[in-house]
Amino acid sequence: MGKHVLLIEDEPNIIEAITFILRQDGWRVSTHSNGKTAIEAVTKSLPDLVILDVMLPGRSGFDILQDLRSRQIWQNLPVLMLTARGQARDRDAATAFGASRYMTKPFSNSEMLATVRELVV
Amino acid sequence: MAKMLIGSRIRERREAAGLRQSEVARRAGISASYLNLIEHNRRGIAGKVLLNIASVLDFEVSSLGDAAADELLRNLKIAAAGADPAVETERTEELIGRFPGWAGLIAGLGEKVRHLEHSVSALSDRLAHDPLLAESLHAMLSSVTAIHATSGILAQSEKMEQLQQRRFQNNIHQESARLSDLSRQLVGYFDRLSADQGKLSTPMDEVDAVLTAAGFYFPELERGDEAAVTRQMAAFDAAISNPARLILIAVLEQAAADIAALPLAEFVDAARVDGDSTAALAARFNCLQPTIYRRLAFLPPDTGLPGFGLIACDATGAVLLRKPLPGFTLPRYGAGCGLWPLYQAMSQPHVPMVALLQTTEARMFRAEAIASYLDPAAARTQPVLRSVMLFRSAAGGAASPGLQPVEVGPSCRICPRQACPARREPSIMADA
Repeated sequence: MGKHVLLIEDEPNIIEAITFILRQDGWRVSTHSNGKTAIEAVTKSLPDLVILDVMLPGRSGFDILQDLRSRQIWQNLPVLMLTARGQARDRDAATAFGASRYMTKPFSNSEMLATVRELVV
Repeated sequence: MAKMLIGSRIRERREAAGLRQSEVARRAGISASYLNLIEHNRRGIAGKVLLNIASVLDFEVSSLGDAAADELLRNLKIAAAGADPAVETERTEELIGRFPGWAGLIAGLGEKVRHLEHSVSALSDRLAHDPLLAESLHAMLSSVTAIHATSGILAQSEKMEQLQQRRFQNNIHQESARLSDLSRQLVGYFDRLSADQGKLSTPMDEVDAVLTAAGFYFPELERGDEAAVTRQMAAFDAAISNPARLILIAVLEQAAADIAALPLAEFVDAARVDGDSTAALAARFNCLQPTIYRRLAFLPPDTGLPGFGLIACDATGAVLLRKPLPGFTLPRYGAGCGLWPLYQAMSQPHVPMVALLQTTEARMFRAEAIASYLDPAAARTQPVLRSVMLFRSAAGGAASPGLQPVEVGPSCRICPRQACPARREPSIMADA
């Protein structure tokens, strides 16, 4: 069975496209759309990688990332931040909060796939 | 008072008296060439020489004040502040005296630049923080991302179930429809922004411009019927933004209520007797002092009463209403002088504060202010405080017996009193 990616994103058509791309490449993908319960979703599904959108309903991706990194068990979990906001301050925030990588929308499918493969060795 | 501009005024009086320079100079005990320099604002004049000339030409020295010229001088100094150091600021008064038209043009351009800077700042702030714009751009990027990723899958996948293929095609269709909607919304947004180009200043600026153009007098309201506010709004005939219109209507409704409580003829008669005691007027008409303040400030121009200025603010110091007077500048942006009773009144709500204010041009104004809660019954739970200050010229001091003058300024940024205890930021005025 392939490695597990948890996609935390609220745009249904983006979820469907990323899920398709990763599954075609052999990854096991689960999805979650609510920022408020994102930490519980990570705890429950024990992913090998989290793709985390910044703009989520209920709680921001930065806030979720900070929360994850404050817990010993998730300190080394690869997290790929995904956002429509490409401003320098967001990139700096992602790095400061402990994102493994940062990708701005719109991204190319091959770029997404290459980054996921790189993060989960 | 702008000392060098006195020269122009002396020349006017000499010419009006039909006297030659040499005659006046001889009788004043100075040379004709020196008087010529004085009259052309190339030499300052004060003390005995000024008194002698005043005696020869038979005028009071105090009558040489010119509020408009002083205002022009102040505006030129503001325009020169922060400019190239090569600007000969020490010769500003000479510039006004010799080339008043050019001086007015430069001061006007300086004011226009400040206004444009304010507008640009307001526009930048709007673009950076407008939630509709931020949300629309985020939604557009999300749609573009979905279309880009999905079309990439369709283009690159050689084998795909027909059902899945249809789902992706449908997703692209959905997202493109969303993009169309967002595009229309944004075009509408920028159209509105473009239509507002001339009104990039704040709604308060617009209200200010309408009230100033009307001379702070509302003749339609004096007729006192129910449609008075609507008629007065129509009489303004001003193209203003909706927020400005709402503020203006609130100002007029308040003024209409004040007029209803204080009928014109009766109030003017009373004010001629008790004009300097707003407390007596309030007692006589059984109303609060702020009502008296506003009524005095918004009277018709031909009552024979002195001109009154007014400024109202909330507890943050934000200006809610302003009526300046010649020689008493009220800031257009930001707060005024911390020594004005307008602000001190907020430390003791409902207690009137009276002060004699001396401006940086040595003009005297009698000011009184009172702060009150918008809803006194809710003062403990929702203490919304408003302060209002009424002021009038106190030249001669008759209106302010027993009051020691307080040295005030217009606002820290343009106030030359460098050592003022109330200073909150450095002044851009180079000299006092």
